Amino acid sequence: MLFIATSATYFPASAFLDPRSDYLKLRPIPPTSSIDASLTHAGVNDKTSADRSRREPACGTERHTNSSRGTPNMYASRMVGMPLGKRLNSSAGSPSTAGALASTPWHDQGVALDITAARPWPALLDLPWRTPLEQWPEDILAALPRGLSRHVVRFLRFEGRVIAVKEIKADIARREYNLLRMLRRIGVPAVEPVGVVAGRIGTDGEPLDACLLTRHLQYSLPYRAMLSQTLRPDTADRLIDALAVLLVRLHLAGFWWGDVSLSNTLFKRSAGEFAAYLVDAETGELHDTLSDGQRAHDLDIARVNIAGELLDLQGGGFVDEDVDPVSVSGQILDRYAVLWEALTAIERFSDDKRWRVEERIRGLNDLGFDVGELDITTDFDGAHIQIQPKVVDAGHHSRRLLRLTGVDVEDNQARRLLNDLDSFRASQDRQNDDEEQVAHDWLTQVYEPITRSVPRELRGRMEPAEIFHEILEHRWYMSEKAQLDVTIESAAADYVEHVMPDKPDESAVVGVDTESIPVRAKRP
Amino acid sequence: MATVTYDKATRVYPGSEVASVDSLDIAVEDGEFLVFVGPSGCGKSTSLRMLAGLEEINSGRILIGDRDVTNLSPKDRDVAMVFQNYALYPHMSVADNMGFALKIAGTPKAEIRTRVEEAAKILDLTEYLDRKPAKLSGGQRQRVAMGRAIVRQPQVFLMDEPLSNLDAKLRVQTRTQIASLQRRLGVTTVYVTHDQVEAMTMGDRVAVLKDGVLQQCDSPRNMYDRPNNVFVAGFIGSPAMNLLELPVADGGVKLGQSIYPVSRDALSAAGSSVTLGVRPEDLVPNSNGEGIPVEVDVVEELGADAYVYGRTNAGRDDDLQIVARVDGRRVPDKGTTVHFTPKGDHIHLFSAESGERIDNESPNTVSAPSLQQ
Repeated sequence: MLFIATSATYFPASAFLDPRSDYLKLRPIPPTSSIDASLTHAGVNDKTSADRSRREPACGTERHTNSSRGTPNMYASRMVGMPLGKRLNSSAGSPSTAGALASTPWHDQGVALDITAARPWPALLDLPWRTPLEQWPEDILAALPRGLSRHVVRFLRFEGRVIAVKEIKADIARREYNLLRMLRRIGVPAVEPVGVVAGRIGTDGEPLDACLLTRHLQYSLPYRAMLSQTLRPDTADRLIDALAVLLVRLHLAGFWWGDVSLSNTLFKRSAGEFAAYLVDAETGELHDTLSDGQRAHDLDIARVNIAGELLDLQGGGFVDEDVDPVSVSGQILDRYAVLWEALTAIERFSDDKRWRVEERIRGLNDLGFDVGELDITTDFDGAHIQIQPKVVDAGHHSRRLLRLTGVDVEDNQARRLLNDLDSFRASQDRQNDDEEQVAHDWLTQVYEPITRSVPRELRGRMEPAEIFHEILEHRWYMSEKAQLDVTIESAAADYVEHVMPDKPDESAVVGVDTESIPVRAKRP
Repeated sequence: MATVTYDKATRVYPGSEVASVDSLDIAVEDGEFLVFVGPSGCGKSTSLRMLAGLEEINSGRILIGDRDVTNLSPKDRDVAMVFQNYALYPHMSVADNMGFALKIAGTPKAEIRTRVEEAAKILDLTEYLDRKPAKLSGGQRQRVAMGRAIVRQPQVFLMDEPLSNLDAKLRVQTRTQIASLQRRLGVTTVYVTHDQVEAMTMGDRVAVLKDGVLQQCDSPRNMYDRPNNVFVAGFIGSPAMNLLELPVADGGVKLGQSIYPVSRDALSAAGSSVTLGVRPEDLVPNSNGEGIPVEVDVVEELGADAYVYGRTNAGRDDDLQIVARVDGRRVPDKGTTVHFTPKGDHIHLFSAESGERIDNESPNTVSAPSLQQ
């Protein structure tokens, strides 16, 4: 009886007594923040950040399979605005290791989190969001050394993945999240955004900054790990080369980075070279096209940052004193200029030299680019032809390999694999056979058996294509030493026995956790 | 250090018919702190980037000192974008953190040291020069970052919303620091913000932009006291100025049952109606029932003061919204009607058609006009 009577009174009352109606009748209507503040003060605020976000446009995102170029698999979800009880229920069935770590779980306090995520991931709710990121328990973290940064960034092992968490203001987090999604959509190599967690309240009741979550790129290496681990003297040069390619690709896509640096980039091995991925898009802006001034500014920033990063490593004794940070950092300007010129320059020649059109396209293919659109104009008298590439797409080799074999790898790895495919074709005397058929045979007779011959426990240390490249290299050394052709099978066996066990596991090498320089993120 | 001159500088984005920045004319004095402010999309960032060399200038020109920099690349302009991107390097000393960028520019070692020491003196960092940044407090680290820009000794500092990442409390602190540092250094500075409070508290002069057009460039005081048009009047000040479109009557503007006296010259410029502006703090409760009757909807109490939000018909058919600041210890009740009279010389008149300011200072007007019943 009592229950029915209480409910009968409560529900009509709750429907009619809207605490905000008094404010909303006002003209001018006071700002929402002011109303919220007044209502919170009076303890009758019926809205939370989750409610506010419900009115924002829904954020879907695309999820690529293990490639930035793969067919987009479009699906989206948004875990916002759900009352906490409900959200908790959705994850209640799955036992979580992280959940136990939060000393005072936020859901006990009736706080509303606002999570924007690329896909439903209920276990995210169990992370200790009420604790400032700097104080997160070490046992859920993946990296321990700490560096200085504008923001606190920490790496987290979470359900078999490594996730980078950056503490940052909510509007900036959302902006970066959307920019990263956009970059991946237009095919620029960038990390995968996982979500934004906003509306955090600390255990002391004070609001905490939002967190941007990105998925750590598998088999990628931060520059610090690379420079202090490898002995090859030209590693720094190759990192700069990869960064220059990334910067050119970003600029062609109209993206102004604003904070180009080695620390804001991740590198993946690509058959003796590196492929660079953008990690931090916080300062970035996407335009239709960039002005020369914007490009020059990005390059200037890149040069100063790279020099600073190398000087810092030198200061810490991680990089040899012979390396000259100033001259190494200057290479970004040269590498960028050469590539930009090759991709965008206008070429003019007389009508009888039409082969130069073909030559230009081949030259771009060699650099790893396809020409999507070429502008060809002639003089009034037709004596001269002028050409300029208008649309170029990176990934010439990886696209070709993907088409032929379904294997999706970095461009230089693809180039290497395609070369081996060509040798296979020649050795089998099948020059006139259908290219797809030969490729299929190469895949099933060479590539797959070789990469599978690596014992399971070692397989995870490198990507299969990189292992294959290493074995090809190893065969070359063995053949040279023996002065006769060594088969790939015996090269693979020797490599697995003698080289591979000493290789570090690079499946999840993460960068340095950071402690903030409290200029931007931390309260005094 | 140098002057900065925008000479009819115009930026039109490709594919757009409307200029993002339209014939901007501003002369920034040597050592001046100029703030561009306006709502989003007004062209304030574009104006700054035109000066930085990041945006092309389609017509007009920009000078730094006597040098035409319109077609120069960013690094040849001798300007520094501050706070855009800095990182402190943990293994480098404070001095190296501040000076390493000069090394890239090929500055001799001795000169780098001199410049770093000068900057450190200004920033109170002299005794920390040989320490590592991790050993410094938050505020000291922040000053090291500023030092990186200072040692470059550019002619002009450019800052594009440098405080947007900070929370409210830190924003106020850093705002004060930047302003006082700029005054000590005396380097010409152009600053962009969307926050009019930031603009008013930091700038020697404030330039308000709207739709790519400069509305007014003036000292904060003049901007507040003599806004050029309705837009500036409404944009500067919080809560915003009350803007009432009122009928013109014989000898003045009809305000409720009263006539607010306006000079004949001003009235002739006005037409049949005029926009009258009065700031919330310039409305005084009138216990004699004179002035504008306001029905109180809500009272926002701030302690010393309170804001009264209400409605008035002030001589019109429909209701107008009014905000007034009153003594926090004598607040009217909700639902009551209170009369307010504007403080005599704090009234602004704008043409209802063009929105431009109408000057009401002719010999025909008494210096502090009072309302006539």
